This record gives sequence, structure tokens and C-alpha cells, in this order.
Amino acid sequence: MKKREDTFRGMIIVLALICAAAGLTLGATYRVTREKISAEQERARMDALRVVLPEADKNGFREVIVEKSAFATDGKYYEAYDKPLDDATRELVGYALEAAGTGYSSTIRVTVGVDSKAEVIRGIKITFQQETPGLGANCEAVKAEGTLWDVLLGKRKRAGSSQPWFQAQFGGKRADTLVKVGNQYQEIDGLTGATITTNAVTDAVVAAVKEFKEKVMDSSVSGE
Amino acid sequence: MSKWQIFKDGIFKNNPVFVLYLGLCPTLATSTTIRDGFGMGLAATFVLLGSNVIVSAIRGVIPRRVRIPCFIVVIATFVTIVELFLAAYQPDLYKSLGLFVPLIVVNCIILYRAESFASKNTVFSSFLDALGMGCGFTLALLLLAFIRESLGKGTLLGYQLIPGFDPVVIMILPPGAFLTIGLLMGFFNRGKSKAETPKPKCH
Repeated sequence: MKKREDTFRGMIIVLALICAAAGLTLGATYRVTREKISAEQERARMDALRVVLPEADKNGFREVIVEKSAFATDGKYYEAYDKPLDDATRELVGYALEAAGTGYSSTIRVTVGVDSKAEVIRGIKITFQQETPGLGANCEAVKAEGTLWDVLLGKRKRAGSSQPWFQAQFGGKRADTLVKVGNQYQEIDGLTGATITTNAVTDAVVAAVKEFKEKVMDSSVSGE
Repeated sequence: MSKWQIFKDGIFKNNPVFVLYLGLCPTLATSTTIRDGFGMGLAATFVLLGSNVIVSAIRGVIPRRVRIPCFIVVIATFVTIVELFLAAYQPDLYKSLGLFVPLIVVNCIILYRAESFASKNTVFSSFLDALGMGCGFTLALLLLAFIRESLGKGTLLGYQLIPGFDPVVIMILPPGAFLTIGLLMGFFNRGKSKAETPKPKCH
């Protein structure tokens, strides 16, 4: 490496030029990928909503802005209708709540779908977690339907891509039946070796439904 | 040194993980499954290629005393490019790799090759060196991931191997990573005397 530019002025100029080139390149890359990234985030969000409330129309979700709470982690939850929002004959099928709980090594975010009375859980979808792989992270594990040999022998196209079993079990359960005895939820099959993650998810779901019922459902009924 | 030698050395003789002991943190963290290991290997190789080529191309004008910041800016730029592309086109992989994508910036393999090779050699040689090192890194990841995924999860690439096999969970946790890498390092360095061990400049 030549020492030609070893002056103070040389150092500043070279570093500045490199940073400018870097900035331009990154700006260009950002512009190229920006749409795809936000489309992906939107897709993930819609995906969670569709999974937890399958009977809702994909254009039938209405965002409701509220102050942050157990059922609106980001300050919003959704009303779900069976027809698109601009259809006057639409009917409420339920609500999609955004819950969160402190897991073992991350804050777990869950979208919870409940029926129109906020009593029965329609389904849950964990949208973010960074729990221990092989233990807590199994909350998103999907049971593979075939083995590698099946694939190699051409019997099966790809590994089963159904819903994670841990999350699927919440579907159809009444929120008020989810009670803890000691440190365990009797109604929920826990994750092996991951009680903290299991309870974090269930606690978050239960708290979200309970608070939603109290703050939104009951208060609107009593007209406060 | 022949051009072929430059490339080949990065894979076996100077394997960045097993022989130079560089980039161990991301290696251990992302070798739990073959998919993650391969993804990380490709991402790091792309950054290595980019940074080696650019650093080599501008090696004549980089002032010696600010060379490290210059290298880091170049490396970080390529890492950010990889990150943006992964987030846009491979969101599942991006989610699995998580924190370790931005951490490629401080992957010692990349900085070490920029400092000790790219800044002193031609662009083409640097390209070959990056390719060799990248392949060596990816090979190390795949080897580790093959062992850890099959034993620790009972799957390969997500497909189950033996139905009913109760996986050895420790293999996908840190202790399993260290056990596996230790044994593999021993194997890769077998027959070497102390005098032969190369001394890397940073870990």
C-alpha cells in the first residue's frame, strides 16, 4: 500500500469519498428493495389475520386505533367482517387482537382471533419470537408429514406446511377455560422443556382477551 | 503462488473456521440447520467477494493510518446490501438468521482477508482468495449443520430422517456446537505440529 495519501488532508478526502460512494450505493439498493420489503411486511400481517379468522373476508378487516393495551400492543386491533368493508350487508365475525408477552429470550408477539362476543378463541398466530431453538422456538414448529426417504423416492412433494401444532390447539377454546393451576395451564399442551415460552404465549392470549372484553365489549354494552 | 492455489487454500489448508479459527461466533450460531448455515455462508461469501474486490481496487489510495475505517465502511456497505436483499427476497431466511446478518460486518474472516490479502494483492487474486475463503466458510457451516441438524432435530433441510427418532436436543444448543466444532477442528488439524500453526492477526 503506497503512503502517497498519508497526509491529514488525504485521509479525510479518501474516507469522505468512500463514505459518499457507500451512501449512494445503499440509497440505490434501498430504493430497489423498499417496495418489496413493505409488501412482505404487509403480507405477513394479512397472513396472520387470515389465519386467526379464516371466515373473514380478506378486505373485511377494519383497523381500530386505541391506546396501547394487552390486546393492542401497537395501539390497534381489528374488527373482522365476512364481506369487504365497503359492502353494507357485511356482518361482524370477530376481532383480531395484537398481544405480546415476555418469553424466555424475547418478547413474543401473537395475533389472537376471537369471536364477536370475545369469548371463544378462533385461532392464534405467533408473529414474532426469538426463543431457544429446539425448545421454546418449537411454538412455531410444524410437524413434517413425510420423511426424507419419502421425498427422495418421490412419494411426497415437500415437508408438510400446515399450522404449528402448539398454536393450532388454541383454536376453539373458550378464553375463560384457560386457567393456571400452579404454574401450568391444564387445557394447553405445553412445549417440552419450555414452560416459560408456553406460559408466556398463553398468558398473553388470556390477558388480551380478558382486557379486550372488559375495556371494549362490556364498557360499550353498559354505555359508559 | 498459483491462482488455483490461492483459491484452494481457502477451502482446506487455510480453512477460516477450522484452521484460522475465525468467524466462530456466527458459525456456531447459524449452523443449527443446513438451510441457515448455507444461507449465512452465501451471504458472507457475497460480502467477502465484494469487499475483497473493492479494497483491492482502491488499495493504492487508501491511507495506511485510516485503512481499518475504510475497510469497515466497505464491508458494512456490502452487508447492508445483503440485508436489504434478504429482507426483500428471502424473508423466511432473513427471519431465521436474524441478528447474525448485520453481524457479518464484524466477521473476522472478512476484515482479516481485507487487511492481510486484498490490500496487498491484485483484484483478480483477491477475488479468488475471497471465493476460496467463502467456500471454506460455507463448507465449515454445512459440515457442522449436517451433524447438528440430523442429530439435534432429526431432520435434514426440514425433512424428517427417521420417523420416531427422539432428537439429541443438546446438539442444536451451544454445548453441542462447541463439541462438534472442537472435534472437527481436531480432525482438520491432525498431524500438525505447533510450529506450523498460522498466527491470525485478529479473532
